Amino acid sequence: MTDNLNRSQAPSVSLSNDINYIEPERYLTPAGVPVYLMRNETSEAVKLELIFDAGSIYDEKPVAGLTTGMLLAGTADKTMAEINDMIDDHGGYFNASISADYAYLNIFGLNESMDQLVPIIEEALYHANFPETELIQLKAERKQHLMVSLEKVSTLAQRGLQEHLFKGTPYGRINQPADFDGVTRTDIQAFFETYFKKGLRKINWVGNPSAAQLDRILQCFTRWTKEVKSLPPINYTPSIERIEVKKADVVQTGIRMGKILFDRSHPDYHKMTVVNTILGEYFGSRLMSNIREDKGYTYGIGSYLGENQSNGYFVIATEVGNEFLADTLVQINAEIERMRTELVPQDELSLVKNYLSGQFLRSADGPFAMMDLFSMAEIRGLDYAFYQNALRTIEGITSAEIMETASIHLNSEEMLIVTAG
Amino acid sequence: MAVVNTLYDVGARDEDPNHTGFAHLFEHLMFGGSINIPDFDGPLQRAGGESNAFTSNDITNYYDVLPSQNIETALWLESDRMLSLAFSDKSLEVQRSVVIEEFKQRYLNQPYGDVWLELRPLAYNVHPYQWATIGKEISHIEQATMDDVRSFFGTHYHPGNAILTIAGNYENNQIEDLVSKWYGNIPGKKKGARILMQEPPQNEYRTLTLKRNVPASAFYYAFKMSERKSEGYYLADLLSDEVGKDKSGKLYLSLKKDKALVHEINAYILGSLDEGLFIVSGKLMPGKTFEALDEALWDVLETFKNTLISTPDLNRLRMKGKTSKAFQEQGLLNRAMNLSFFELLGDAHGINEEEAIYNAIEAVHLQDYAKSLFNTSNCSRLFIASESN
Repeated sequence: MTDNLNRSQAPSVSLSNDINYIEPERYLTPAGVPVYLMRNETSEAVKLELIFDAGSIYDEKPVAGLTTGMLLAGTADKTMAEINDMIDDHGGYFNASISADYAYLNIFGLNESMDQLVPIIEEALYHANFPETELIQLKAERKQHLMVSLEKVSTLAQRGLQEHLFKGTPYGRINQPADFDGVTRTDIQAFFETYFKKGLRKINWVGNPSAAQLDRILQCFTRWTKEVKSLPPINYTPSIERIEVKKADVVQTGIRMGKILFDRSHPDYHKMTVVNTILGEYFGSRLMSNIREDKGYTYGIGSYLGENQSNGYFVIATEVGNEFLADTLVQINAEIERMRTELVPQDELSLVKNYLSGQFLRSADGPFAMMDLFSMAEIRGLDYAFYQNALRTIEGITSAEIMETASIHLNSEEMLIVTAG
Repeated sequence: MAVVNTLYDVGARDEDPNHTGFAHLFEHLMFGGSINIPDFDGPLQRAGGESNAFTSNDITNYYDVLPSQNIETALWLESDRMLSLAFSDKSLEVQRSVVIEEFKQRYLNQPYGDVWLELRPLAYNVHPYQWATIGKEISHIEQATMDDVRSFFGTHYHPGNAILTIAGNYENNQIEDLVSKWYGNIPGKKKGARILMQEPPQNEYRTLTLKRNVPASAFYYAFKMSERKSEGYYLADLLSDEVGKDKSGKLYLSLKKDKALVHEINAYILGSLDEGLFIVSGKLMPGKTFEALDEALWDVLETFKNTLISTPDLNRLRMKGKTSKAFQEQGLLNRAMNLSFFELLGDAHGINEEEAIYNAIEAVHLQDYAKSLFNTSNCSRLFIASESN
């Protein structure tokens, strides 16, 4: 026990930007698909992530999502239930998901079961025949799921943003419930042949295989190829306007504001990371401090830098009590203007620098997180130098640079505003 | 990296029935400054750290994740708010409003958002699990006063009611010195006695149907299940996987795949410390009736009472349990929170004994448990009827 403890005095802190970024081992399948292996030496847990160039931008109808949802739904000689039982026998789990650019199939298990699990899944996947009865059920399920989502003001605002920000591009296409009706088994089969069988972009593997197991798993994927798809150049012509989506009988209004920005290869990207953090990315951000912690208008408000294969964008998102909508928009604009015209005080800047350095450390906790960091960089043609450069930029950035970056890239007159309520 | 996790043995079940939602509102106030430190988050962020918390019906859990060399910052902050809060009027006023917006966002402005506000009081007549952590109604949050805040703090926030877990690469004596420095002179108190209203045996089938403007009709069957510390908890957990987890569950295969009655169906447990709920829930296909669902659902549940689950099925459950366990142990924060919770159950070491408990479960145990569980007299059933269907 210590007497005379001065509790108002903060203990001294120190920071180190010395994060040990671990390179994965690199292999190729016999067909030339890259396999990245991050060793997990402290646990038997394994994740194998297959990434396909099969995102929702590659089709007009919701075919990509339905295909992804039916990857392990049956073959000519096995039903979905039989396949699931075989996976369960080895304690395996899987999930499939989709983004605008990619489709993902994640396989979870233990090192000891991979030799059985992976061939079962590869076989079921390669011979997937998308049974009609399964398709009918999945279409009905997805349709209903979408109808439930459309009751939420957050979904309505987000869809409005996507539709208008990416107008006229494949990224701006949003599905309506009726769109599911028009998808046929033939659509799915054709999509699978083109975008999955010939679209295995890479495999991320976190685990600890023996040399023999490693070789067997690589051989497992001999039948899958990676054909490079080049996206046609996309011209973004977002509508800069105020969109109001009407929804009756709701007590909150969803708000999304956004603009097209740039991706991680842009020279201002790291500076913009700092601008975004100060404005809306962390609990102590200006938007949170003002709109939640000072005024109590919302449970949460935040901003983020988003990205797809062809571009990056900036978004502010919140749901507020209906009666607070008008003042919330005023306050958001005031905070943006403050970023563009006033120097960030030294105290706030040093806090944000330290916070961000801690964020980079937290994002690198353990082999699963490390693999995610590697993959997010690699898929954009970058490497760990991206994170190291980010840390250096954050460490050295000045208030003047922040104000300049905000004033160039955060003009509120270029901002699309969508409200739903 | 290091984690400082502080679990306070207080949850929504400890609230006054006329002041519900208070434990959760109080969690928000814990970030509004303490006796010697005006702002909680700022100094932690300055140390490269981040913090959050959650409240359940049973506990309130706070955690800080920060670079390991700055662990003293977290101990300084956490110990000061254990010593005493700032009790700022502004903080109370703002957080009341934030929590009311949370109430709207999560419970009122979502399709099916009010289900737990309806199902809990149906399942529990007297036990405080009859309300959700957000509270029974917004007015309870509006009426919270500073006196309530002070009294709640005095009763529940002290070393005798807390479990501190520190995770990171340290020597024991390093941590012991720091903890003794920052917590050593916080006045200790005895843990208060917890006298909760005991829920009498149900002995009746409770049913409620509500009409709502939702796209699909939904159903919720809530069966009373064993408390966390009993063997029955593990039986209920394993049984819920067999009945309705993922796409291998028997309900999914029968009601969705064979009969096309439902869009989705799941079984899961609410692992409460006191007598909890085993839930079967899902959504109807358009054009299908609650009557057809009800008959088919009870038929499937009856099979668990009348037949032993097969050896391959039991092996699958065990294998999947082993994989789940390996993934639950990933990440420092998970491990720190799990250790705290097991310490609350009586012994942190219990975390290492669970696998053996699951492995000792045989088909006959599951069948016996199903017999006691799946009865109308042990069930509360809520139907949300879609106005458009």
